[in-house]
Amino acid sequence: MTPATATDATPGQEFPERMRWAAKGVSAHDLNAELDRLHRATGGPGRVLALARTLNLIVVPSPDRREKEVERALDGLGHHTPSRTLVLRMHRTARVDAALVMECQMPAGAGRVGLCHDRVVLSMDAARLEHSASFLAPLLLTDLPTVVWLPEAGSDIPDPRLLERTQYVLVDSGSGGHEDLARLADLAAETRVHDMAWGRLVYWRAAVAAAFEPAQSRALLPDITEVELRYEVEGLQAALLLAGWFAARADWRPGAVESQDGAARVVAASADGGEVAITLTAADCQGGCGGVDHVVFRAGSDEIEVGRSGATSSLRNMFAEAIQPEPSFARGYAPAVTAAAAMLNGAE
Amino acid sequence: MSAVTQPETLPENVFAADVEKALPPPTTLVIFGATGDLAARKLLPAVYNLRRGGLLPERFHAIGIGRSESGDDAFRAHAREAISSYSRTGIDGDTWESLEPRLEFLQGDLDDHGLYESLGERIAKLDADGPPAQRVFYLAVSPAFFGTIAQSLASAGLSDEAKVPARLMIEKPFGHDLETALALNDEISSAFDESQVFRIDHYLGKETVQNLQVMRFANGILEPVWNRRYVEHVQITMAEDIGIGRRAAYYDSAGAIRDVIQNHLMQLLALTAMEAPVRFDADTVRDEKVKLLRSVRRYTAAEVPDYVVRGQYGSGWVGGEEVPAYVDEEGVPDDSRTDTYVAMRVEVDNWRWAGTPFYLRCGKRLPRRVTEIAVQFRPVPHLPFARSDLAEAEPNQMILSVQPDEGASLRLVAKVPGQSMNVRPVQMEFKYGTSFLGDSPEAYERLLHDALLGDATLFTRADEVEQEWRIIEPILERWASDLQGPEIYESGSQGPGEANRLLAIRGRAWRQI
Repeated sequence: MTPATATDATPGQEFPERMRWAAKGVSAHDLNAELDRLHRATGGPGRVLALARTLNLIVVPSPDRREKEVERALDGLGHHTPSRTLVLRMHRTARVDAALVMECQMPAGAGRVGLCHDRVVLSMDAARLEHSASFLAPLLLTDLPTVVWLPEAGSDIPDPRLLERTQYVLVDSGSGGHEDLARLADLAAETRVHDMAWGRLVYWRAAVAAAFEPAQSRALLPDITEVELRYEVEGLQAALLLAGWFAARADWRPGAVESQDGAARVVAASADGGEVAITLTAADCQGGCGGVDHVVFRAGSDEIEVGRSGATSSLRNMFAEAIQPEPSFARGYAPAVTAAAAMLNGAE
Repeated sequence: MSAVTQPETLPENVFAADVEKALPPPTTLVIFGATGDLAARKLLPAVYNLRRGGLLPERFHAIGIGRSESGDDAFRAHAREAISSYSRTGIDGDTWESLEPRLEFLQGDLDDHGLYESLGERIAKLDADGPPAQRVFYLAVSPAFFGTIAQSLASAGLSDEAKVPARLMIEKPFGHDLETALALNDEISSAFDESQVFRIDHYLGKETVQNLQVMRFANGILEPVWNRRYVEHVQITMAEDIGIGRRAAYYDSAGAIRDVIQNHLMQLLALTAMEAPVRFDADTVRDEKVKLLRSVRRYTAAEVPDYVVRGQYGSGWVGGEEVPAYVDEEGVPDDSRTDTYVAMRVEVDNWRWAGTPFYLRCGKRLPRRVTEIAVQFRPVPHLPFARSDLAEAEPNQMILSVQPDEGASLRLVAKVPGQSMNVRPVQMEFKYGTSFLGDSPEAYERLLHDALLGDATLFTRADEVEQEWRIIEPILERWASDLQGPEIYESGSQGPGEANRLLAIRGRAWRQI
């Protein structure tokens, strides 16, 4: 092991303080010892510091082009969700290298408590990544939720055993291709998935539910024959997820998606043997709308329309919301993504 | 200087009342097995740190005894290296310089009576410059020598309390089964009075284990709920990620049940479940522990499979490294049936705990090193919050973490901020490392210091050891005659699948290791 330690802290500096440590050829035991030493080193007379960790976050290796995005997200993590963060990366050397950062927010003013959290970047070869769960196990803090983040929805989970230690998986299906939905459907059958794209649809799900709340609207539910869904140009996955949710909730069995006049069209069989035509059309949606622009349900001559007045651009960045361990975030997701995947795969 | 005849009633030490830090009386510590592994890793660093902390008397000497040809200088060099390698505080020049001249070495064979005569002469020489110092004999050697050493010390007149206080410190294992434990106790008691014997279970020296008593008996809110009415079950876990290393010779004949369950876990069980002692002194606390151990249900050999599961590690991955199966470890026979994992359900048949099971488990080559006591409280009778994913709102749990992070936490359910009535578990947590400035002493420091002070509260009494063996005995009997060996579990896994069966009622499940 060849360690190197450095600190960004300067005397009199109030916040934030960062302490760094790096070493090559480390064991989990080395890392725990170093984390422990750094935690102890942060305290001292006149410095009241608490370790603030609300969850264990494991970040699986992502392509180089995503690295900056991952860095940005993790840099902001301490403000909303201080975590024990374990970032996995792949390298070619047959050993584990580690870089550790401990960041402490030292508030100004006497009697205030500072908060610290830590991040460990672990680089290992492919063979070790395949058994990374065994390396990470001693580093995880007990009794805290553990989340695996796939920065790219199509990324592989390098060691399936990671899922045994995980309460949920964080992804953004909006960041990948629509082919990822099938994989996410499989994942959702196995564990809880917090899909940021699903979070962006929170307004649309609430708005659709509210639109059918009046008795006269609810009466139309069995008679729906058409659904028209306009989505943001880059938001086909979001549209499929929402359409999948409609199908799952209304007990429609969707067929395969087909391309027709620049739109995507799905015919679903309703429970009473009827047909529901779902049309997905790309639209120019400026200012952020959670991927969807407009939804219309038709039952004979009646129409129920849901617009995007409540969908705001704040929905674009769901990381802070999706990383929270609230199970309600994933409510309804598994059947929705399964139905969406069925549309892409041909039929349910 | 000859021994001073003591008056029948000693006057009170009027200075002691104001003194916070207790210093032991003048002491000569004799370490049998002084060049061995235990002395290097634990004892010598403990002596050093006690010296560093100002917790040893001015008149203190340590005599190391070993079979290897070695003089004082070589022993001092060995001690310095051991302290540099294993002391939690490293080594500093001043402390070492004050300790070094107090270390001596005596070479000899433990079976040779001449060794004990030489030891007596060496002690007498050290006593020449003042009143006789108390003698503390630490047996860091194989248990096979306990009886021989104790009786040889007695024959040489070194155990006689009438002349000068003398104590015998021994390490587990205290016997291989009930019969050998009784024989060992007989052998030792023929040479030393029970009040002179300090049996070490180093778990009792850990801060959290001591804190368990403070948590339970100094906090009014816990005692009313610490019983069968409010506690659904208790899980006591001691998991290790390491294998057996080079201990095959000992471990293969002991297994996890003798190595851990019979001593450490039975002690943790007793401390978790016992009644409040009237005073925190040696005999009162140990009386309560014995009472508790007596109320543990003895299973018949036929019942054992329903309550106890054993396993043996196979190959797998731990800590990012590929590790071999137990039977492929150096020195282990290919057909070994030794248990490296044991899980058992313990029923405590008394008024407080009847019907509330205690689940004990220990094992090697599990995913991580953790020792903890998890008290799971009963769920609330009715949850009035609709649509709030209550499956996630698990019952309250109090976790006392013994290692690696000593501390305690309480799991509560809280509302997630926001418009919806969503709930999820949150942890109220306290860690020694971050709640108190300064390091906790190593368990051996605390225990050695207590023994020098003559305080046996954290040591195991003979009747405790015997009760522990009485609980284990039917299991050993059953396993000896059982054709089916331990279930093989993959290294790095949670242990044998069969262990889940023990808890598989009312939604119980083992905590993840």
